[in-house]
Amino acid sequence: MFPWNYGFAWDKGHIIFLGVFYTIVLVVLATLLVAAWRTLRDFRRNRAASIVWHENFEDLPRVERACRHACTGELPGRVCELGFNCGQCETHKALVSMLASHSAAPALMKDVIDDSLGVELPLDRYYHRGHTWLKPESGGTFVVGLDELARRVAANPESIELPVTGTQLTAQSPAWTMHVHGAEVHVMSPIDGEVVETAHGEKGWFLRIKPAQNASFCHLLRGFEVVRWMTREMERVQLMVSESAAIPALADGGAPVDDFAAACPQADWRNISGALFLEN
Amino acid sequence: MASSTLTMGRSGAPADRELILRGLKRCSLSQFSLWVAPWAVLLVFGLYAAFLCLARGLNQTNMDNRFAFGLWIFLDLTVIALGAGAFFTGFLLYILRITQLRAVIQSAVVIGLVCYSGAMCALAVDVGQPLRFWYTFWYPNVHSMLTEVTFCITCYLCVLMIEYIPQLLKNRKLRQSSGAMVFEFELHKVMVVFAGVGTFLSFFHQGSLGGLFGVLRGRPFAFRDGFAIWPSTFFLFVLSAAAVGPSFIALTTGLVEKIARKRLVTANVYDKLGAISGRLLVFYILLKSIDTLVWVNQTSPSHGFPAHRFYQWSPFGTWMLLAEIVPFGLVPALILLRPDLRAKRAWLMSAAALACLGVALNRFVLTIQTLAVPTLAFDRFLSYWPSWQEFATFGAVIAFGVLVYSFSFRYLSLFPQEREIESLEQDRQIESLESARGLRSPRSY
Repeated sequence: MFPWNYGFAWDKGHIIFLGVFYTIVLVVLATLLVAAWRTLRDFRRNRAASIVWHENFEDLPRVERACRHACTGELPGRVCELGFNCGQCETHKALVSMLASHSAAPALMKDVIDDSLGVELPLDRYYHRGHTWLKPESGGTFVVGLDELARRVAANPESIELPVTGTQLTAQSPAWTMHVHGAEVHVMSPIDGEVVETAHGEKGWFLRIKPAQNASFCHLLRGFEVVRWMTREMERVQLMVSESAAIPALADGGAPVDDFAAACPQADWRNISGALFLEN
Repeated sequence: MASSTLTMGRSGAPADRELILRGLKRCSLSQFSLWVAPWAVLLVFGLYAAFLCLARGLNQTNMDNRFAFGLWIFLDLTVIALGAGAFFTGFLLYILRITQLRAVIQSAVVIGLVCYSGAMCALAVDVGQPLRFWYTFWYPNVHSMLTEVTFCITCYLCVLMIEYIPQLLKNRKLRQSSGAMVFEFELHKVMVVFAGVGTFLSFFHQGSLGGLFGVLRGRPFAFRDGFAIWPSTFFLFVLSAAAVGPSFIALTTGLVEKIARKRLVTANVYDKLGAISGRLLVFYILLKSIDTLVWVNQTSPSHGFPAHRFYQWSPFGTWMLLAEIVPFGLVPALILLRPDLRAKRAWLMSAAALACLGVALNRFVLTIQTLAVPTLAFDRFLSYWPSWQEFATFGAVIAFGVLVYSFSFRYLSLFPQEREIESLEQDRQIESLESARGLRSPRSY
């Protein structure tokens, strides 16, 4: 194996055989080192959160990767391939500009609350598909809370771990953690920004955020899209309840109860909350 | 009731659900334990037998200086040929860009890993002298095909372990670490290099395994002419392994579907695996037939042995040669070549099983029949039956493979399409609800 070993000779056989062997070892080791070095570089350049989100996103089931325009019925069955990064999606841009030319582009609606689903859905704020909302405030800050569906699925969290003030959040990466139905759930931040205040939901929100200068809102749902998306999400929850609890759980026209898990304890609420918060 | 309370969480979910990816439906922990328990017992029993062989020597086996290759070498050659699905699927996916195979690549890597690590363990017991295992690396005989096989298999096993890392990092617990996920992402980006290295290594060790029989001048039953330093068996081994690799992947995927009672991949993946296997199998059978004809008419007689002499020793008659070429070669190849037949799961699975049995028979013939038939005037036909220690070690390798695959299937996502298929029904129901609601035009406020 080495020149100083018994039996080694500088002949053609040894040079070719061991040359090929050491080349392979070097290629394998170098490739591993390149992967490790690139990993460190990703962390140094603050790309880790984005990579983790895209890795997780690719592993989500198709139904959870539905395009916002599939939820509205504009492009039925379309699945997002860009990690909900609508700013990079040419189809989204084309549709929005087309709707804008007809003054029908989705937008925030001050003082409008939709209650067609039996829950109050204020349309004065942005919604993230990980079931958080982002409400603009005077002074340029935003508050982040859980939407009505998530609040009812995770009605009585066993614990909530909020980030400390000053924490820099990245869109689509975990903002805070809750223990719900015996499982840990990571709630996603809707935008990039800095945490300036926290609350345990008693004020109706969990975080007050000062958005980063280049924070994008493009991927967030607004206006009529929210109602369509929420309808789909409620149906999805009903189907998951039906499936895991082996009972029909379709809405009968009444208003949803405050605590879904208490009303139907036999359903797999860990799985359902994982599906809502886009966990793998 | 007591066991279900112990192992099932609320709503029938397994007790170890925290380790299972969301959306993957797995049986309860007690059912899983019942499945792995007999394999674990077999593994422990086999490890005891292997310990006896290593501690007391090869007198624990029924091999001797004359019959030096037995059950273990047959097992090694067979599992390495079947495990070729790993390198060949990697080659097809990462280098030839046949993207449908993404659905089975992770399963193929695990199969490759268990096949190669199992073969290495069996070889370690077979070679014996555990305290000197490193001699083969430290003092290599570079002119020996076995040395090439040892180096290539060791290197390829390392490559397979590296290819397995991304799957481990995507486990439900490990993926919560952002470092693990970013490393997995970066590792995945350089996977083409590992696929290339794996293909190179596999080409040579599969070939050299065949070549080491083809160069046996003292064994005219196995000796073959060839090209440059490589006898024809070198190329036939590479080709046969590449041909049955996809068949074995299809067969194992079908078996796992049966055992798990769920669909794991879409029909087009089976079709692609079957089509690739069928084409390569036809090519292999053609070359094998030509090689046999050349050997019967030229190579063997030129060494003073009419080929028919080798087949006069019962039970190794010409029926074995015919069986290898026709029912275990040509028949599955023709089935796999026909799209209408391979579209039917029973036909596809039968053909894949026949192809795998064919390659096992081929390795059996080269290992056992080669040593059994006499070549010298004073020689006699040798028979050999493995000792219980050999059978137990053989069983341990099989049990080890089943256990590693079972745990990987339970806790990792070996089939990326599995969750897609699971969620398809939900997707359809939502779409039908949406269309029933007439959700086509934006509502205005």
